[in-house]
Amino acid sequence: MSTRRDFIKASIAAATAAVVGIRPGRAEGQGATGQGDAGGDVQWDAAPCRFCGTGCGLLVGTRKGRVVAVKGDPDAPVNRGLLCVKGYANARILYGEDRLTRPLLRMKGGKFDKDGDFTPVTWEQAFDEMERQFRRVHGELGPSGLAVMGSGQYTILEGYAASKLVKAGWRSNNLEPNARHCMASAVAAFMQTFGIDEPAGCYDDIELTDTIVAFGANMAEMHPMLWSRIVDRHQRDRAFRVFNLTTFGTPTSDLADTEIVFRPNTDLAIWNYLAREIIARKRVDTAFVERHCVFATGPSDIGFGMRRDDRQALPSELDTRARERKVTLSPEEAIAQGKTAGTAVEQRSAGEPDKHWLVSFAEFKKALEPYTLEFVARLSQGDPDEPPKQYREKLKVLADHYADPARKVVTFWTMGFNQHTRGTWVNEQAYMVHLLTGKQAKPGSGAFSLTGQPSACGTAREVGTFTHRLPADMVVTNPKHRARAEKIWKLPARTINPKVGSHLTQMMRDLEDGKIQFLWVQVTNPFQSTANANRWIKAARDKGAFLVVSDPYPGISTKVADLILPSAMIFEKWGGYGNSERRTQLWREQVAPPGEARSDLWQMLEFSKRLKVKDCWGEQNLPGLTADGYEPGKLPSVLADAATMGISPEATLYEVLFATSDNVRVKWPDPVAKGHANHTASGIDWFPEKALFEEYAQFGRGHAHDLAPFDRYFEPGVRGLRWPVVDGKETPWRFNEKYDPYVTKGAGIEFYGEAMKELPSGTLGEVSDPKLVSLHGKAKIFFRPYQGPPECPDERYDLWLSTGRVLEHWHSGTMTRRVPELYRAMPSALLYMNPGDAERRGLARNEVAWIESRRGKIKVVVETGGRYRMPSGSVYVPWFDEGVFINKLTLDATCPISKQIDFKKCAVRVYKA
Amino acid sequence: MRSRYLFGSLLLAACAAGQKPVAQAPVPAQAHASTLGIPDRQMGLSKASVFDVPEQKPFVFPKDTPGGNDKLPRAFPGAPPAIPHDVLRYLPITASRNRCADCHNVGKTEGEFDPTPIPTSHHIDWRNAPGVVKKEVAGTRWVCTSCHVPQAGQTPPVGNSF
Repeated sequence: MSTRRDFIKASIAAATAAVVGIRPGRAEGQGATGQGDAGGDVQWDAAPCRFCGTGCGLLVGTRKGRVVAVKGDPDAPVNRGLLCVKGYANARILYGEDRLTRPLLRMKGGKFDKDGDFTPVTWEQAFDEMERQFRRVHGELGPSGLAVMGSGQYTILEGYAASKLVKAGWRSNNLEPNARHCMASAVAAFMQTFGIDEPAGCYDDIELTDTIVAFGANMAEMHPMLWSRIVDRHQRDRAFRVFNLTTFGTPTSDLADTEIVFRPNTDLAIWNYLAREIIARKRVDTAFVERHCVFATGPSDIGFGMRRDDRQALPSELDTRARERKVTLSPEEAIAQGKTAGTAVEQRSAGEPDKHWLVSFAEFKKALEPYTLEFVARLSQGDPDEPPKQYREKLKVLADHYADPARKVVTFWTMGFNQHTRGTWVNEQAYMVHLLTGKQAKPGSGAFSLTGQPSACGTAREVGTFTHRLPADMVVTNPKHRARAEKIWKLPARTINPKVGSHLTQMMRDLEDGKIQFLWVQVTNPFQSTANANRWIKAARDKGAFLVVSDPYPGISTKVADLILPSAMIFEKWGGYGNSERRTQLWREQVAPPGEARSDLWQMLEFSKRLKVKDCWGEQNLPGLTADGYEPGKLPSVLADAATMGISPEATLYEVLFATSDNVRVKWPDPVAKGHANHTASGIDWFPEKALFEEYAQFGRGHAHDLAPFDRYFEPGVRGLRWPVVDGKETPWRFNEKYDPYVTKGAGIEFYGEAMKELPSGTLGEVSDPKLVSLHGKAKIFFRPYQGPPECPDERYDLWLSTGRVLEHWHSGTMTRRVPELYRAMPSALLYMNPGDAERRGLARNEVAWIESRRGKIKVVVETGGRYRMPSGSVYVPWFDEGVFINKLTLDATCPISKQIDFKKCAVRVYKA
Repeated sequence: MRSRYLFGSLLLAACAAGQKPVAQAPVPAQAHASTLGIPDRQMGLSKASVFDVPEQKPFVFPKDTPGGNDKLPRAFPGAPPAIPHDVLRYLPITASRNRCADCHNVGKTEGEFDPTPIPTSHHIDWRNAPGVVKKEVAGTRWVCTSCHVPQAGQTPPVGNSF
């Protein structure tokens, strides 16, 4: 058996330490296969990885118009030359043999027909039908009948173009990223806690800390190269400690010093135990808290983001749906919320779940009182076979580490917290403990929300491709924000619609209700990835709906589409991504897209030529709109104002939004291309990506979201820059005077975000003093109680189901399952199950079982071993496999604040097929 | 096969065009349109309607035991070699135990039947000592399975022309 000691003692052929100039790409070739480098005529250029939110740097090798290799970029600070198995697959994802290379329209007899088969058409024909359908729906339903589902994998430029097209052009706010399912809870918690989005810290924290807590984050598989940095620290430093808090054993547990397996949703209680313990041990960093923090809370009767009524419900769903309106408190919920068990609590605050107010420290402390070690250990223990004493002891050791003032702590989380019916709360609780102990916004210490997607931060959040957002953290409901966006965009006042549109899950429900009938999907596969999928695939096939899906490969969403547009992939276009540590990375087009595939940006620019100002900027019906200065239910005509600004009603949206006089001055070709092509700019003499980037950057500069000039990101030696980039300098730690130029001189730490910084005050239960108090520069420490999920195992559906990703596959698998090495490494999704649970159901490893929830059932192969150790009572099925369509079973309950679906908890039963 | 014709042949045509501006890619005559339509159930990796429940079968890793001249071809020079044997019994890799290293932590290859040795590149710590080939393997490389994966006997449902 090899130990770490043996491993590091091993000598190699050239054992003498020597400084060599070799790069990993070349060095790898010296392995046993004896293969050399990819060859002398290969051109290498830097680009970020296509997959997770880590944002590893790649060198992409091209030869004769083809990507022939990738390697880890040793100059990239994120990954320093390393890549995971998916990272290496970047080279091959472009070349699946069923790549979509022509627009395909459902046709019969030479015409569009909802029941027709997919038939190749020209782009002209594709846009003709799209325009016809757009005009039909826009005429019948107005802007709220149109929607775009985008992505945290949109490039920054694509997301920006989508935002401008939908919000300024169509005057609809129905633009949502799949990132709603990924980190909306993180966003809501950042805004509520700090008044500004995105992490204070950066990845350098890993090398600077001495304690890592992975809580609801299987980093070993989902952020493998960040995890490798943690493993490296762990191997070097005996005092370095790693905790993994999870609902089942994962590869992250394998490397952790302490694994804590907790019962689903009891993370809420564990945080409150930690906070209670820190106060009881007198380990609060009083100076930090008094100077930089306030205490707050909000209502707990906020529902679970499900439909409020029983419309469209199956009989099997009625009991779960009922909990949206009324929750009968379990004994644990009662203790945790200071109420009586069995009380039926009407979910009265479901309409204003984000409401919150200030409370005193005494109230905050009182609220934590029930969360004793005994209570929380009993409630939260997730593996019934673990000795309770051992579990209790582990919670105590965790508290020791947070409470120790000499220890630095970084807490990482991802989907375990974000995909949670109390996702915003549990994010806020991480800040609660870090703020109480003063371990926030300091090198080596911080609560650090990791994102799942390569540009969930850069595009979905910073550009603001959510229904309520505008760039740089602005929101459509704020008149000042709308005015600022209209000024930068040179639009008439009141062009932007002040009403928040439908969030992603609501868009699906609207599709089902016929309220949205024109839906354009780009860079995402929502009909596979949205919970309760049986409903949405049926809704997509409904006669009234017209669904356009832009994708490089066929998958579930293209199969339910009416029109498929072939998209260019990452290295076939210019782009930019922003990773979890606020690092913006741009890249050049490396190869041409195949056939007639085009970038999503090109598709939006082209479609915008089909619509005129007079089509969209006249008076529009908008049911439910109420805002100061607006007639209820109506968007005013801005055509007259547009005319005074010199905008003709006959101008196309392309001319007023994209090919503006400023933008067309940004010329293509451009020396920054260094000979690289740009298919998006073919036939024009301006550089859309650079022009849009510079236009977008105006939103953030001077507003704590500063980006560097476009060309700077391509300079040799630059491997992305962490915003705010001020005077050419990036910001590793925000809110900390030493590193962040936005902090007032002498403040030390300043949480300068401005959103939601005026609050009334009250008790734990309600507002008692409506006078608004200004909290400038401060962060909020929230009390949030334990609340069970809306659907728990019972006699009929007796197991918890959690879903998620695996190392080898990305999201719905449309790219990675076309890479032979990745396909063979994990050919299909399995049902991971505790061996005892399997045996009790007469099932054995590799047998086929039915798995069934209140919403649907599928067949899946049982795995009782493998990389996950399921506690009795819980099963895990990854969602990458369209043939194991697990989202037919999952529940579309959301965090009521963030509207993000909880994919980690619903009740199922499993039986032999 | 119709779908293969529809997608694949167009792809090959595009590749042949090389870096030619894509805007000029040839557009096949529309006359073929009526004969080329494919139903949605013939698309994607699961050739079924989205409303169907596909049948399942288990997958297996073909070789239980390491050894022999069984090295798999790499996707491209520099790509991490895939593992030609089942790994279940050697996992997990923990903080203190790495059973991959039991066999692969060898200085050099004596013969073609020997385990693939850990290469020089793994002895460079690019974060802390860039370019220096150290005696020890970089700590970032401890979890072999982040990059090296076993291969089941399944044939992928669609090819890859990389």
